[in-house]
Amino acid sequence: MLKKLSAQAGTLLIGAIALVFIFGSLTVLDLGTPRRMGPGAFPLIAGGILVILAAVAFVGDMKDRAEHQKVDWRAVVPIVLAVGSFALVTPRFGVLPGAGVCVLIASFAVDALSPLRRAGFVLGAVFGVWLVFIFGLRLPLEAFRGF
Amino acid sequence: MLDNLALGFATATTVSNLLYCFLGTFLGTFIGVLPGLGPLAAVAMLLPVSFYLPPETALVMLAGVYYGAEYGGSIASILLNIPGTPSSSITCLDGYPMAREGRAGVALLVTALASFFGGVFGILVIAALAPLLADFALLLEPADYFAVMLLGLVAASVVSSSGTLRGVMMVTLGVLLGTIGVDVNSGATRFTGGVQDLRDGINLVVVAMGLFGVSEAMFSARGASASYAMEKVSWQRFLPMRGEWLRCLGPALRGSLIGSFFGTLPGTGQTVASSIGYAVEKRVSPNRANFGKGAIEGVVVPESANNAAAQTAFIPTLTLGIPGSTTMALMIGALMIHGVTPGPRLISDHPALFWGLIVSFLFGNLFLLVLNIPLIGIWVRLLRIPHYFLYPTIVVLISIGVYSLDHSLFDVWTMLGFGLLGYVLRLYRYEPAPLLIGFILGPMMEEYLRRAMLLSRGDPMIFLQRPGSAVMIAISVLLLVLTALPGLKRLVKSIG
Repeated sequence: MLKKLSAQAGTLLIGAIALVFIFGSLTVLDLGTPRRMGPGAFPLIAGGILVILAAVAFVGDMKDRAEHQKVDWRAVVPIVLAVGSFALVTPRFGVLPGAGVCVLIASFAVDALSPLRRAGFVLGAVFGVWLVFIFGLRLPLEAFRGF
Repeated sequence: MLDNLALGFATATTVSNLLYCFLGTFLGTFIGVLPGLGPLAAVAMLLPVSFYLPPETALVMLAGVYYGAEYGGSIASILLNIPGTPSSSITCLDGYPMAREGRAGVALLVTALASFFGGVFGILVIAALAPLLADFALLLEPADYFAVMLLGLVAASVVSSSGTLRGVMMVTLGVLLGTIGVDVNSGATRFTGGVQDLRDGINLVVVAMGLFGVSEAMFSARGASASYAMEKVSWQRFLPMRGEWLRCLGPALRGSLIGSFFGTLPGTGQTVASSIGYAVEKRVSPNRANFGKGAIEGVVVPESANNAAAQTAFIPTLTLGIPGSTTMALMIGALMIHGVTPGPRLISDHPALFWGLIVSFLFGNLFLLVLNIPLIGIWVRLLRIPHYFLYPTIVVLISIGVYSLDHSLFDVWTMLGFGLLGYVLRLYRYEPAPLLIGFILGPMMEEYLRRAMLLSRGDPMIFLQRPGSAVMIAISVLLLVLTALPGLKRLVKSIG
């Protein structure tokens, strides 16, 4: 049963999001009247529709034993860490160090990169970021901070 | 009309606008050639670049990126049998067999010419129709607007590659996410969880870059270990044979007509235009037996339809504020960032922007034609670059792009959240593209629904009493029923 449910995780996630919106509309927001609809009315209607649709999709997929793809952790983890490290490094050290760390970690999501090639790629990408965003477009970004 | 076109020429032919138009078409083609990266990713990636430009220049550049990427997608279709964009997948059917026969040069030349033909046709349609539609749109009432948007959402759902039910679910999820932030009517804060950064809602660019950029990298990075190996393109037979020129004319015209029509329908776009164009041509062409085996008509029709639709998709976007496709949704975002509200008053309030943009399409298509024939060799070499450089570069570009929006790290984290959401949805066969259309149209729909209900004193029959909205709602219901019927029958059967 648990395996069957995990195959429906996408549909269940959508249904859960819809329920959060319905709960918020009913408990926190004013629904108003048909003439003067309150801020909660539209999310309640849309959330209700989504819950019904998610239930239909859930039943259909359970009957069809619908397949789903497996999570490729070797790609997902480096990319999540890459974006996260950009967000952590940039405010402390500037955009270029943030970009360097981001490219370095993201490069572990792909195969077939030797250490030398990886280092060259990171340096090239950081130079490219400087060339395009800071030198070329003159965006108000701080290249280095705290040095 | 002539005065307007003169104004458009004056705006489009300034040195900076011409330069950015050229840059847009070049970069768009560059990104479009890379398999997996379509116009949406191209516009999303280059959107931050446009923030620091005047509105006319920004729009001219982004439009160039858009139709440049559409064109670039066809190059990979023909040379590699890998469609750079969904709409160019139809071009694979005959383009790749032509390349296998050593006629890649002919296919690429015909693609460039057919795209130019379709593009110019679409420009003429937009110049003639958009002002009329804008005048007509002034007569529309809130109930009509709501119904048009409903039709747009339904159309976006039914053409979704993941099926109607999943398409409608994605659209509705987008509508729900669009309600986050302060309600403009009451001032009440909705679904922010007390987070101050969410008071203004979630930025469209953040959603788009997360759903498409980050999730695409998560999805494709692992398999991208090498470049696409390919044979050398033979240029010996560059020009079509004598009889083929004449055979191309009818399909180009039919493709342009079909493309122009489907481009104007909100929510459909180029993929529908090129596939319907191909299906129609396959029925009417005297050469139909060769379709799928390298028929030149099979390249001309989808390319002319695709490019005509790319231009006419601007009609609902600019005159009604309703995006014709997901990429158009981003263009609306770009307009709003520059303080321009798309809608019936756009043409009268910003004539230089509107007519300058239309005339720039002409220059953009000309750049595509003149540039791309000699540049085909470069695009072919580009496809040989190892793809393991591609996805880490995309990740860093979109991270910096989102950060530069507002210097907000909250935006970067939110983008990551949407990247994960998009990834999970794709694992479970939910295509995230309709979500973005729902996200854009949702707040507008809510606004018009509330206004219509206020005007009708709470009577929902207003939507059926006005002929315009009644027809739109009827078409929406019909579309939904027709597309959902087979699935519903299966479901009932399986339960029974």
